[in-house]
Amino acid sequence: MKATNAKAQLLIGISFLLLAFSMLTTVMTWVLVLVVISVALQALPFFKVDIHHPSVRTINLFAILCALALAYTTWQAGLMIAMVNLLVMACALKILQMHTTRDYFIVVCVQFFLIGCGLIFEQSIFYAGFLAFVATLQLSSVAFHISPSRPLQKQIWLSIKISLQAMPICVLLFLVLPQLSPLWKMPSSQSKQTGLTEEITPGDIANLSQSGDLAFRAQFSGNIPAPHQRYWRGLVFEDFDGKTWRISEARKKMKRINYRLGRKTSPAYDYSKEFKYDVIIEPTNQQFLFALDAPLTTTRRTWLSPDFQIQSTIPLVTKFKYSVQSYPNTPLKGASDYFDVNMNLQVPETGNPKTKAWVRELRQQHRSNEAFILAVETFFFTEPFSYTLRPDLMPFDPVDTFLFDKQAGFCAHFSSAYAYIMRLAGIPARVVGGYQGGEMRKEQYMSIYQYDAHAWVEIWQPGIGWIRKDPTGFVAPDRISYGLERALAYEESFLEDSPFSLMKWRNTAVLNEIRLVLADIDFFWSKWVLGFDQERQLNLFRLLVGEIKPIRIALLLLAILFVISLFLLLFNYRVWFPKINNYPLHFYLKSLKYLAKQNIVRARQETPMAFYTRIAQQLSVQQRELFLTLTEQFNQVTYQVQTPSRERIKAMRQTLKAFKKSL
Amino acid sequence: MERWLTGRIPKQRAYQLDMSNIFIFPSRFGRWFLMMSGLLFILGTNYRNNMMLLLSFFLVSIFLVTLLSSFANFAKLQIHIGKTKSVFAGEELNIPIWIGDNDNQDFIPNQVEGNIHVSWWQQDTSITLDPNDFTNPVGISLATKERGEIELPRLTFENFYPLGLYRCWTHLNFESKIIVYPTPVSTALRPKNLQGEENSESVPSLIAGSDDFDSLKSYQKGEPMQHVAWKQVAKGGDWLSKTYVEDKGSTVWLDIQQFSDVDYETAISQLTYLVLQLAHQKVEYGLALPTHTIVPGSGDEHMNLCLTQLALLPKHSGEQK
Repeated sequence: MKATNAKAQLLIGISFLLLAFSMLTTVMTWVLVLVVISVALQALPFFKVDIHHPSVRTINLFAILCALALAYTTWQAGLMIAMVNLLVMACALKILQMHTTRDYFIVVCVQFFLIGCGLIFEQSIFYAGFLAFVATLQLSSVAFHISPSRPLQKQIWLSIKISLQAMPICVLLFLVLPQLSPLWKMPSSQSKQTGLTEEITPGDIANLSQSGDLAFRAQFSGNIPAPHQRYWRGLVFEDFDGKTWRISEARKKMKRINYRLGRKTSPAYDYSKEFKYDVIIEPTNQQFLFALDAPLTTTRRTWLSPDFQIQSTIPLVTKFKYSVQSYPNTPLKGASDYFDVNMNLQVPETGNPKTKAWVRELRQQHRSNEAFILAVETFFFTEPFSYTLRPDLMPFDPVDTFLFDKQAGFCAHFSSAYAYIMRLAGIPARVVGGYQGGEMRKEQYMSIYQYDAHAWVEIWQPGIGWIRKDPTGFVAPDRISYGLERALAYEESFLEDSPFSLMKWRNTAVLNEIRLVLADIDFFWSKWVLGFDQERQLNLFRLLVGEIKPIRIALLLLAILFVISLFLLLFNYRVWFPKINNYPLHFYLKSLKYLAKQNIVRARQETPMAFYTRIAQQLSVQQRELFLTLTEQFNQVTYQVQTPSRERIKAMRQTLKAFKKSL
Repeated sequence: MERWLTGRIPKQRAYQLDMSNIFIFPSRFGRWFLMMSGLLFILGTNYRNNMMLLLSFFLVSIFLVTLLSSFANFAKLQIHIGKTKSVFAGEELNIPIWIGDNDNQDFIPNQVEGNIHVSWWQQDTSITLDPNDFTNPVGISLATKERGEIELPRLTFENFYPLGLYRCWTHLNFESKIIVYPTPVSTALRPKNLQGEENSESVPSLIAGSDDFDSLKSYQKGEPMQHVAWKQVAKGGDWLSKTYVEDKGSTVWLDIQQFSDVDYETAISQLTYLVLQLAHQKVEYGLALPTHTIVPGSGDEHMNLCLTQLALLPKHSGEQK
């Protein structure tokens, strides 16, 4: 086992550093510090600084300490985060004692694997580009290890060349190798759920609205819904404790039973109006998906729950694409009215006394539901309510405080209060969380951002079903028609926590164009690369071979294998066609080969001219002349130091051709 | 294995590596690399992560691409063996190996890339050559144990270019006549002279007589350089060579029969010692061996001939003891 090359070690250290820091949100800070220290120690010899390296025993002891620290610090973060941290930590420790070739190669392998781990958390095209750069560094490092004395540029060029050659093969494999279903369930990071959560307390969504991150994108074929129709249903909250709305436990249990029994929800679809679209959702680590009412989906691993919510069967750890058809005129009426109605009349016994009294009084004035609802809406219209991202804290009796004291809040305040009022009046009501709005890009796709998060109310009307009511719209109609930014224009609180978000500069034409082009790239990437799935693969096969039959697929695979081999041969064509350096010599040697076939062989020490004079008699007049010309041309270029110009080479080639013919 | 290899890579003085003599197989790193790609594939499938799948396929593609390029690189290698100087048993042979291509400049100098590891077949210790930084010939040492013509073991050449994923190697069997002379062992025995009289006056001739300077004559091409009269040459004169007294009586006859009191191999070693002594003293000497005799002579060629004959003596002689 020989010591590894210093340059190779330095490069692998740098790439490790880049890699570890690119996973900033995943890798613990103290592990990062460890990475920096080990890379620095390892890089010292390269800068001719000699230090006493820690002994193996010291490092092993240190490793045990680190493992304990890791177990302690990642206890809460979940298995996946712990594993990634463990890998990074182990790699950092291995770098400290990278003595043999074996150690070095272990580090290289672990780092390639770490690139894969990085892709768990982020898959954007830009990150992919960054990782490609890191991979190039790693390949160059290996190249240095194998041939130490080549210059850096050559090594980098070599790894780029190999990568470029690998690309087409990689794409072919990606397109044709079967997209398998997950083999087993993997641990996912529990702590990093993004977007909406399973409970909603007025004020929560306000935080979400500070984020300009993408929630999902939808690509419509056909009709595009008008802004006020863009209600993306996500979660249905049916359990209220006076403060917080939650997904009801009873509902959860029912969903589980339905899912296990394979009982599908199929409302009586009204096909008069239809929206057809594909959604690519960003990873949320949760299971609910978003769709316009009332959705119908055929995508694998999704199902429709009785509260008209599309669910994924596994948590969304990566981007996920699903196709939906929505029929907005469909009445939202489930199979068991009784269950829905009873669950959504439940109110907490204590708290919010003012509201209770007020509703009791109002209900006495308006006996019919319609009149009561109208009265409540009038209340919202007439009272000086305002829509704000900076609501005051309302810790006690929040509905009372909001309705009669502060009168300023965000969508969750309005919805919560509205649904509570309805329930007090005996009208079944629930809060629905989701997104409202979306930014269209050139009729191509709609982007829905986190700040589009919204909450609205559904009330039950006997015989009809659930009807959407959006109390926010009473107060801030701009929110529904034009989006959050416009609705908040008066207080300038839109994305105030993220001053550098490109989103903030939507009104600067150039910056906005940049933002939209970046969005286009990301959309394309999500759709074609990240969203490539079994379905698309089968479509591709159909496009290539027509109807899918085993024999055709086999032929297709054979063809692909053939293409791959062709690529491989093409990349190494020099094996068969070596680069000719010295054309005159090449031509002359060729002519000797022709002569050798005629059993005229040049002796080893014979000069070209001497050879010619010796064999001249064995040739015909024409051959003799041609061979003499060839010999002279060769001599001129080789021994009389005349530059082998293009004309000379051309002339020689012609002579050779003629000579070959004459034989 | 050995037989199969002989059929595949026959004995030659020079090799051009090609399909017939290159072996290629994923190296240990290559196997890890493939395993890791497999792991990434499983991970990518389980997480429904197309980027991970792409990474895994990318690594596999790199594996495929480097297969041919590592072969193509190694196939550029041309190796031939140089003339090996004989040594005495127990010393290390220095086998000169020439790497590269001298007489075909038709193509771009066929530069092999990546370190080349050279070792004797089935031996662990190897020397590493950097093709961008080495000088021909490469000396590869081989320990010798006993006299005689030795069979070179196969030489293994390894290369891992470009990314270490594959090990390209070959076991070359170089054809070369290498004689290992017997180990000289000093002896007090005096050789008998040509006349066959033991303990004669020829004994002192071993010590003196050979350096007796006689006269100068003009230098003839082919005469040994140590005979050149450098003093005269340095003065700007013609090339002269010294002649020495050729004492007819000092001709020495070395006979193996004389060494009956020591065992056979020691006798050979002692004879070797005497040959070297006599050659050094420029005495004319002959050699009488059980198989054949060498008529007296002198000079390096004669010495080499004698040493070679001693080296090639059968390993066991029935006549002795």
